[in-house]
Amino acid sequence: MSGDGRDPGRVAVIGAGLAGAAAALTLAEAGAQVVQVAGGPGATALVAGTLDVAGASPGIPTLPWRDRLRGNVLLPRERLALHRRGAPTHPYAQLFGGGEEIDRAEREIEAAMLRLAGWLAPEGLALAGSLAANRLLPSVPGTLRIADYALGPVAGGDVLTASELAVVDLPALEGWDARALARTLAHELDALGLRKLPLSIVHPALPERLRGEAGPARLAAQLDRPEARAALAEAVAGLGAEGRVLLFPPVLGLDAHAPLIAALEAASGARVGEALAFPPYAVNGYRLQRALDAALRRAGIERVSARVRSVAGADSDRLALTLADGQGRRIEADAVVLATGRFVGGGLEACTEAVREPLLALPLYDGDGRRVDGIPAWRSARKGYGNEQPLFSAGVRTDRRLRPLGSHGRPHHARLFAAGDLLGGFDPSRERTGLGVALLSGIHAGRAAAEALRGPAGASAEPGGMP
Amino acid sequence: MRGYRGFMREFARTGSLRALSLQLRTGAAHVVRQWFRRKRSDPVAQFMAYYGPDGVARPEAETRSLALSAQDCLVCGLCNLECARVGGAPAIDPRDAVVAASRLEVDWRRLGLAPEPAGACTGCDACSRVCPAGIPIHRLQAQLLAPGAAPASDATPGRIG
Amino acid sequence: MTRQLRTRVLVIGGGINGTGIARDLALRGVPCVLAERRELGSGTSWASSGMIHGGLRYLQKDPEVTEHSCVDSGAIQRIAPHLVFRIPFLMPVFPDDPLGPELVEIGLEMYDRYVPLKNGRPHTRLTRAQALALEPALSDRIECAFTLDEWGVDAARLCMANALDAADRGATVLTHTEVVEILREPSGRVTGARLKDRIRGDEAIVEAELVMNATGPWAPQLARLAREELRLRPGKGIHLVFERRVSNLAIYAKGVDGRDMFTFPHEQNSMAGTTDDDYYGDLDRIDVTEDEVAYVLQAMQRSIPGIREHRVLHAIQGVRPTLFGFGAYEDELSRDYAIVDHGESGSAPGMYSMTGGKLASYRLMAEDATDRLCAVLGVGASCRTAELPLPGGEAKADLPALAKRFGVGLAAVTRLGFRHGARARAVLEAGEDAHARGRRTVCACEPVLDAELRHAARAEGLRKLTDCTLRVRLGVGACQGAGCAASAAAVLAEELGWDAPRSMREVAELAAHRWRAVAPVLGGAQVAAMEVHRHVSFGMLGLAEEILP
Repeated sequence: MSGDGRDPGRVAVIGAGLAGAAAALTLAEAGAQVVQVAGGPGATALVAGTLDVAGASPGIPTLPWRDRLRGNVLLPRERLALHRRGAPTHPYAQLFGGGEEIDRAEREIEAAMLRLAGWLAPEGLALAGSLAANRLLPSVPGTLRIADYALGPVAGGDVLTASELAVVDLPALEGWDARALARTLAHELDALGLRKLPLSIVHPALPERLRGEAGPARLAAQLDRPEARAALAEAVAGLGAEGRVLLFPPVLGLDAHAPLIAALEAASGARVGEALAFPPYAVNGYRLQRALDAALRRAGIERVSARVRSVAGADSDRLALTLADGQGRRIEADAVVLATGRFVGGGLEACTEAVREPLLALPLYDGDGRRVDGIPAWRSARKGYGNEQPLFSAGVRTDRRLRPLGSHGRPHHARLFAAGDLLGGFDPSRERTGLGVALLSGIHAGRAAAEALRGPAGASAEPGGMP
Repeated sequence: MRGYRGFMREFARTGSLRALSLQLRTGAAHVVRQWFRRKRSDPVAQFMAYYGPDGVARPEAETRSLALSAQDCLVCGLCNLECARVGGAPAIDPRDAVVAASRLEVDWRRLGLAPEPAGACTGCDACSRVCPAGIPIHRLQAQLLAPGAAPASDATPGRIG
Repeated sequence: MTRQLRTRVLVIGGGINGTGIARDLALRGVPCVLAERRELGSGTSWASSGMIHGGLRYLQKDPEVTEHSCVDSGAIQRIAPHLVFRIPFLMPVFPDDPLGPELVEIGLEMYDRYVPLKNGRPHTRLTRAQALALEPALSDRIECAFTLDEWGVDAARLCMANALDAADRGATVLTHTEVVEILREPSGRVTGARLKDRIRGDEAIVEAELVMNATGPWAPQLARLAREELRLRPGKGIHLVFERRVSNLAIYAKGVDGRDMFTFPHEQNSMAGTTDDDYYGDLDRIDVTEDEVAYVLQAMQRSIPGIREHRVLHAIQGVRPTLFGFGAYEDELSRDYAIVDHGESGSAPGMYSMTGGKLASYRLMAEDATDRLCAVLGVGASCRTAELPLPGGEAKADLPALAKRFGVGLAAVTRLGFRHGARARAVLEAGEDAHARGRRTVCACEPVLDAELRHAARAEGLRKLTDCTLRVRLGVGACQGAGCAASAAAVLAEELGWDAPRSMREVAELAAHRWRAVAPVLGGAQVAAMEVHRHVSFGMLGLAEEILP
């Protein structure tokens, strides 16, 4: 903190998804005083369980249905290199500088992932993966998805390190169809030209209360309990074999997933994995958000549960957050990190006649520099579903320290930072870098905010890399 | 008579003698009724008598504001997960309660469709706190179970719900 | 190997007219084949407001039309009570409206004479305060208000019910089957058609004594296959669909040009509309424009000042096959219909075309058309379509009992009951396998059960995932299919024998189909929903450009 005995200074982090949590935890680790203001969960709580970092580069498609990349799936670091060269407006450009410094980018990603793993480990949520190898994970419908890193429960489903895969049939479970999964999976593997992976369906004899008739959420909650865990383990006993993966629906516990998976692996002798699931069954996003919340609590970070209505403060003043809690409470801070997300998280809003950033009315740009705020959402939407959509790659533009720029092209405020999906210039669903951006920019913004508190920062934006 | 021009335009559009005759007859009867100022019964009560059996209920401000909130649902399913985690087992899942709340002031009991009170949500509001759209789901649950009048008879052909 | 079919009447077009005629023919024992190029009701019928109204506006010009509409509305209620729902209307009168309250009331008093025919209630007159008490969302600028009621129907299910009844009684119903050639003798007489199945690709030759062109706005295109000219004045109309009910009452709204429109409850939602504009564009790719959307919302805002706070889900659009009339504004054109005999008016005897008409009087039109066809065929049976219930309309389903018996939620069984009526039990029973898979919810927004999808595939001839938007209302709610498209495709893949690539293509088609419906009106909470939608399509399923239509 500042060496002359002044008040250490307070940072408000708005948003508690992966970006906000990363920023707050980084700030706390740097000894800053943090208050985290968050209303409700955002996109982090809806992820399927993979953490995309390396991206799909423009020109190198995401895993297509047809076999365009037959047998030629690029490694994460190769994809990262391509991505860096081909995406100049992506937030990575602000984080890692020019596209030449691949090594630095790789080191920072690996370091960030280690930190994240440390944050999640106490909740039993493991983080698997590296930039040196791909994982290929099956989703609930049976499509295959490249993953750089993945959360423990889904990492077990990796087909690249399995010698056979058995899908666990729960016929009464909403949203799960083992046969359709196997059929689709077989086709995907064939289209990729991967070696033949024997697929089968197993039908464990489940007690009635574990058949999932009340839906996946209730089953997952039930499986947190030791007696249910034991019953399921008994049902899968002996279903395993050397190199076999048992693929489950997204129901392997909400809080006690780690002991459950361990018990299932011990009983069956197989590796256990969950299929990647999307809303309304995105259980891994739920687990990730809960683990982050626990990490924030453990770090003793002050938490205010409220949505923010507006943020005020210009140039170098103190910043003030006005809460949308009915009383209009105010929180003052010396620096603010906006990690409010996009439309799901509420960081961007599509009001009646215009899209806008609600807290500060920051200008929003898509990857091509088009302004998206101030005009109706439908005007930034293109006709073809598969076309590029300015509306969905829009966010704030920042300087190298992740300070959002006003329409004059200069940082809106010397100590206002942005992280996560709020950053524009990329389309998370197409480019496969969503959580990578959240984690890395969250850490970067946290460091930048801590640095800004250490000394009087001028309003001018100095070009600088990572502090 | 206001709208003289409008009247003349409408009159000029009259397409047939039958229409003309109908208009004149009805118009005359109307004028006579107005003249004698026959006391009309309470029209709101009349409205509810007409449409109540089909399930229409009187609008409530609370219902309206809840519906405006419920419309933000993303069908993310977090409410179901959180409800299950805290041990809830309401007869209607939180997610389904948000969908069902599209009926506004439909009197579920009149249509014989209200869930049994035994399966009621406890109102712990864990679901509301986890909702990204901030929907007060537990209040929607309460609304679905709000007491109404006696069930409709079989003779009612219509439905609003 | 081309299939050969012989029949007495080939009906082309599976909208409300085509299916209505097919049912009438089948009920009279006349063998017929119905060929629909896409899905039943997917043209104009589905895009209509679904109101089987009594025709209040025709009272001035032609009370006959009103009377017939009311009678027919009553008939539809009788034969398909499960598909119809009452819509109470609120008609506000503003100080600047062209007609004062007294004139409006006289009009409603005239209408009151006809409403018993359609099981309607007489109007009431409300003061400003009373109207605002019944509907607080109304503008407080109103002078007074009136109430009346009409009935609404799920138009796509109505088409389906007619087609099912026709098929039950011997008609052959072919969907996704296009007429590629009209067959004629050297004399010019039409003898049938060559059909092509658009999914399987195989062809069939149908020999028929008579051909009925009931393709709605496509009628001129089809007539041209027989080198016949047919004139219509196609009128495009759009509706905006809100995510849920704005009100349980329908509320009149006047456009800036004085046109009457309404925001009305429809199934789970409210719809606002409609427009009426001459349209000469591509009937298979009708775009919704900014102007139309702005026009509708502006009108609604006058009656409901807070309308823009309500989440718009998507738009629906269609083109009316309005009778040709030169010089008039779209609204003033007749809603009457005409059955064209191409033997009399042209040189293709044996072919007839339906033009004009409206949903509410479909049964009358079908009766008239079938009478004429039967006269030519020498069939003496009389029309019974107003007496015999449509499938599902035979009795009232005991929904709470069904919910209990099959262990499904009330919301789900309610929707099932509204679509299938008395047959809801059969639908649920068919889905009961050893594991009770049929009880699972597939689409949470409606909700739609697994059993209903299987039933549609096994017993109703469902062939494509996209058609589920009409048949069972899957994927038209808040999530627009993000959460349910893949699960639904899995069910249909099992029932219809789809391989994996076919399943994926169907999912991609549905996703793109929903985007097309949403994009023109995208805003508010729907943007966040489409963020999730794209996460599923591109992030999870890996749908790529080459398979997106």
